[in-house]
Amino acid sequence: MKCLDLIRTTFLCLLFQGFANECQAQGKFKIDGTATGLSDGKIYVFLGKKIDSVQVTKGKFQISGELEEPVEFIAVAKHSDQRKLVKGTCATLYIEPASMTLQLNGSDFAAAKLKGSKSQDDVYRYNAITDKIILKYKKEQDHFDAVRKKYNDAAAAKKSQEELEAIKEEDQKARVALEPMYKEYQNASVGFMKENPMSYYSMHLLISNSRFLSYDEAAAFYKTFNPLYKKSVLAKELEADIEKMKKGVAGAQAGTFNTVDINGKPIKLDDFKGKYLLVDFWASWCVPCRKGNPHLLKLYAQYKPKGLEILGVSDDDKDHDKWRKAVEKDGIGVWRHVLRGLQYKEGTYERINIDKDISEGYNIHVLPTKILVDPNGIVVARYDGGEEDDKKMDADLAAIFSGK
Amino acid sequence: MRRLFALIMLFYALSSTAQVYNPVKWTTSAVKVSENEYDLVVKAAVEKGWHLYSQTVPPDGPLPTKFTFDGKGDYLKKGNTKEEEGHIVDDKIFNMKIKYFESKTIFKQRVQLKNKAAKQIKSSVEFMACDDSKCLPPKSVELIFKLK
Repeated sequence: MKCLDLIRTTFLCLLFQGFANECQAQGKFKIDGTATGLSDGKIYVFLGKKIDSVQVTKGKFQISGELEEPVEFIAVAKHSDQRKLVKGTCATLYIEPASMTLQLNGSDFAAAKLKGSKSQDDVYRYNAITDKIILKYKKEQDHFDAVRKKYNDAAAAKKSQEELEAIKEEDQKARVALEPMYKEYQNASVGFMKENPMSYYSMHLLISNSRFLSYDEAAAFYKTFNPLYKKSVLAKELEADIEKMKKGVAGAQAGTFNTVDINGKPIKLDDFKGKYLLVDFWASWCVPCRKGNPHLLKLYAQYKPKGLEILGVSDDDKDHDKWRKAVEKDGIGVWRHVLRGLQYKEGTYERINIDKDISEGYNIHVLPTKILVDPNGIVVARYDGGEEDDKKMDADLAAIFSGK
Repeated sequence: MRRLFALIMLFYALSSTAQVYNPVKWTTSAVKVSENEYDLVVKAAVEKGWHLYSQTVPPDGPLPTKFTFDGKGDYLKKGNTKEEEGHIVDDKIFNMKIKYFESKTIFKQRVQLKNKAAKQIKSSVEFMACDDSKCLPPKSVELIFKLK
């Protein structure tokens, strides 16, 4: 799967080619390759949108071309058909406008060794760190895979609901056991970015880890990065993403809105001034959201007398009936409800009136997400991480209202 | 002539890499089955833990996966979009049987070409995905099938 990821990064350049001169030529590159365990024939190089075949003769081959960015991502692969690129048949590499060498092993492309690219050297250094983490959690990972397989087998054999539920519980435990591994991964990424701000790979790590960082943290990292790379398409994408992180997080101004509620009454953010407001982003079709409603009802009963309001913002613009039914069925009509305001140009999926979409003002990616806003309209906290985050919400509310 | 053509969607390029979850990846191919008929094959790769829903979720349930093969212009639709067996759960909240897919699944739509010179067929899929604790709002992805 890793091979496919490159398409994302390299494709972007092509998209922007129509505009400005985002993709000016950055220079020529050359890779002298030696291959073991490969008979004479073709291998394939994916660069941007292009797939080139390269002839291997007596264990030697050469790849050359021109780069449009200071660093680009290529894949050297056994097949030209991407669906055949399973593990070991593809090497992904960061290359630079330079003269490089590549050592390729026919039985395991992923073990290819590129020399002469600083960016790829950084990847190797980073991988050495994460390899250790993978090794440390091998037992937990194997167990997780085994439980997954057990579930899939049981489901295929049409085992009873109870049996499947029991395996699901095991699966949940196996997942929890892997959590420290992800934490270590995160720490490794952050550590690498701190120590190697000039590395192109740090930009990649910031993109994949921004989810765990606050706006301030991400912006601070970005500031330290290499100015040479800040003109790249990857950097522009990163900048836009960091900008979005300002919304809907602690310390930010809550996104304003001005619409009508489920009963046709006008409603705006200012109406909630002076009270704590929990904005619940949900939808009638979102099972995890619906599951959380009984708990929200409990919180509402407990804290409403002390000054808490809840506003349901639903992703049901397409089908208002479903929305109304869900509100009624779950008995959550005790607090106010609005639609997020998602609109498409008729007959297309082209979005219109994005400034009226309440979700935009809070940078919502998953449902449920809950945002706690203080009496002055400032975001206090964001809860979008599942069960653990729900516990944090409970604790925050308890702390806020303890003295009241 | 009976060759498969895979195409990586523009999808990869258009979806932002940071923050946004992207648990379902779509790839397409077209398989020639006769002189003027093709099977348009859509493969969905679903990340671990995520569910992609069937096209036939009952009303009032989660939003079904929906393909748009409008059958206008270059081709005629032959039958409905086929899907795999998937998993069926008895969901207590919706009080209904809900079918979903995990890891990998394939959808197939047979079409008959009206315009034999057509080089590609465009369609789209609208889908949502959930794992145990969260859902992604529905989004639509353009699917392009290269014919040859």
